[in-house]
Amino acid sequence: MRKTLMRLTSLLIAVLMVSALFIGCSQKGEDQQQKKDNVTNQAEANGKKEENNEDVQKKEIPTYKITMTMYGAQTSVNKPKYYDDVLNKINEKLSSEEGFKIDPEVIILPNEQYEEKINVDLAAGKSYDLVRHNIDIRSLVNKNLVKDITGLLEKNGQSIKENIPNNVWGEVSSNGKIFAIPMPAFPIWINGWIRGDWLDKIGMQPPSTVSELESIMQAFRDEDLDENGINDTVPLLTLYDHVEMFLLGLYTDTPGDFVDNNGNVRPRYYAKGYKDFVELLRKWYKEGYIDDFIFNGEEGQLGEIFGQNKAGIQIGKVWELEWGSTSTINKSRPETKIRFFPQFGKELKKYMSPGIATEYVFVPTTSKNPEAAIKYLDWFMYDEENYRLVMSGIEGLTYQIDGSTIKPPQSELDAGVESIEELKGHFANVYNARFNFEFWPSSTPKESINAYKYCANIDLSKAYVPVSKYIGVSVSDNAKIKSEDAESIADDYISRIVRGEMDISAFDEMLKEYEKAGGLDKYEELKKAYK
Amino acid sequence: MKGYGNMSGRINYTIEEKVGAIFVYVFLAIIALLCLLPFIYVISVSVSSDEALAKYGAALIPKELSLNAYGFILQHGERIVVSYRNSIFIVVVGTFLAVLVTAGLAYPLSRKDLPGRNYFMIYVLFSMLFNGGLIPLYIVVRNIGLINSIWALIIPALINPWNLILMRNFFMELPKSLEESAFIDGANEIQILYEIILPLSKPIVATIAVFYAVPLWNDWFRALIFVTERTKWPIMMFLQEVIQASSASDTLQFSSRSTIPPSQSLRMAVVVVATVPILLSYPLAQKHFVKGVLIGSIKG
Repeated sequence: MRKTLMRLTSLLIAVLMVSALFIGCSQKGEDQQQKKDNVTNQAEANGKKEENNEDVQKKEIPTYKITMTMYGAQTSVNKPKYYDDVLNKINEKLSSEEGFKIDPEVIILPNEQYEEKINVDLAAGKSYDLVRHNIDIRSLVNKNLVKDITGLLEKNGQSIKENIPNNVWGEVSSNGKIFAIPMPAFPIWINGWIRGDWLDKIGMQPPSTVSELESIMQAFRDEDLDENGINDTVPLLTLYDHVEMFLLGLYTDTPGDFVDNNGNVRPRYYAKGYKDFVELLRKWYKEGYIDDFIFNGEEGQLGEIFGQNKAGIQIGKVWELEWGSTSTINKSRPETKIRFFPQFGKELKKYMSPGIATEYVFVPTTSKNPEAAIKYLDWFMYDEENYRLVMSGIEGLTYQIDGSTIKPPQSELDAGVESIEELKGHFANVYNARFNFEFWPSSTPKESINAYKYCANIDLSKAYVPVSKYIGVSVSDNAKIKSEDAESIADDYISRIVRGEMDISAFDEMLKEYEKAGGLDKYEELKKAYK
Repeated sequence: MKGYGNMSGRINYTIEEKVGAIFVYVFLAIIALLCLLPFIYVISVSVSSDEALAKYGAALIPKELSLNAYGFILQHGERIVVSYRNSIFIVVVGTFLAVLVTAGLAYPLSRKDLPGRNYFMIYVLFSMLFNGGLIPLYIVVRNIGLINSIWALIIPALINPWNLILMRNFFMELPKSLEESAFIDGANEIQILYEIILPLSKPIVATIAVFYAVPLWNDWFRALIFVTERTKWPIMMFLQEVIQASSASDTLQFSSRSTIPPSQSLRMAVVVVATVPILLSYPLAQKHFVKGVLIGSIKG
């Protein structure tokens, strides 16, 4: 009897445990209900806010909590010294100009895990109001994680709409609806960096044409400029993607995927001129101007190799000198006099651009205060005074302007404060490149400023953005996988042609293999949407 | 090596045995060196000057010594101190609770007379083989109110099925006569567990403690997913952030543009600071660790 009772008790406990598992799985339904409740609350709050605007002075000004997230690093854990002062000033202006206040929370997450963290948070229903990101927005749209903000922008984002060019909106739209606010910064982000001390030794200036570049590379190769008695210098240190972005536009006016004469969407390999670009690299490899680093190297190694006198020219990203591995060399070995040189604009048919809005901010479907979030951005993003308040704080208290640099006040600098953020914290997860480029932190190298200004101010009509950026669909997973495999095959062929292991005529064979591997499937899908 | 004894009592080894021993020692020394090299590299870079690193690159023996990186850490050490405090709390409290809870479940499962024992074991094994995934875990942790709490880094990790099975197998090997005599003397099940079984189970307790402590120390992913306040992040999360701060990759962090990327020596110094405690404490538990790994598997 006792044994039977014990068995039954054990069975009951086991059944309860399994039931708990199923009950836990049914939580999703409750989350959806919670979501509906939040939307209702927002609508009611909006309704109430409409009433408040009619007589804002007599009634209490509403305060909206706005949660923003972005990627970055933050080494301090203390609340910034003047956080409350700046927030009070922001709210003072907001309430008098727009009739509401904000309670901002900016969450900064590490770079590499950002996408994973955001995916988990949004899938689990965590509420954010503004999320900064840089992946293809359509992949998020397809997962129903992103709110359509077309209507919100019409109602509350007039300044934002007016100040961003129409073609840039296309990069964050799908099926005619806008899903994010783009932050146009650099239409192009590849340029050259060169050892100024070596240029001085050979009596030349930074190159502005391909032939000048080749003359310099020849001199770097032949003169023992690092004076170590060994001929171990490779003139040009670069990665294939970088040099492609730098030079492909010399040979074709569609340096990126394009629509051919038959209305087909095709990858860049099919552009007339791509073969000539590969031939140029083949010639450079043979001359010893480049080596296998172009195919095997890593971005993080650029600075180290450059600083060890193993190379004299880099083709890399525009922020390499300030933020990349070359920044340490620039700081610790100023005698290298690293100088910037731009893409060869006079010779280029088109600049190869990855997209003008490489970063954007979107409103998730879980947002609790989307209207207030858009209105807040609209209030400061294109208003210089408000932008400065949100991004730098209060002049004299959190920052000072010294010529063209912006930095903490002298008393704070003397106390060891290094950045404005340590004094004021973060109140937004966006930026406006136009305003950012007026002033620079004192730590930004002069050559970096030159590089940023050049890349930001190119003639946009000469920037070629791939067609796929404007076609508002996301490609199927099967086509993506095939495309990746086909790209690997293409990369392998190109590397062998450049190294001289295959003749240049193998390029046509490469295109056939690319097609055989299903590389065009993705472009067939894009073609259907393009129509 | 057997050798053979002689009249004086000394063991004489044959030439083959001596040669064999030399080979074994040389081979083991090479393996040990290969394991040590990454640590030597990290320490060497952390005490090298930025200029030497820029000029000569990283080397096993630093070209120019500099303790600037450690000075920087001490000067701006508030974040490290906070992160360390969090990590120590997570490891100490987490390990203690994990061992307690694991023992509390392993002991009854080791009793053959527990009705439905097999059903419970299947339930445990099921969780070992199948996993709900990250999002369901996040939802569960959120719904029990642990998001942004340091306990989110402890409670979900309290029981590991593998460790549970190891402990259960150890308990099964203990003589039943001990429990029976304690029972006769009037002890109840809980007294038997904590006053007789656990004191006899030091090897397995130490082993399981190490098995829980090391992942708790190394874990940063849970902190990333469940905790957004930096004041509650463990040291490994801080280390992740410092290392990634030096790489702008494909993004332009304009609004944090005033944060200067740390140098290579500073990154290595943070690695040293973050890993030294666990490296120093591991040898203390090593003898239990080696014995304990085999405990759950060898019968008789």
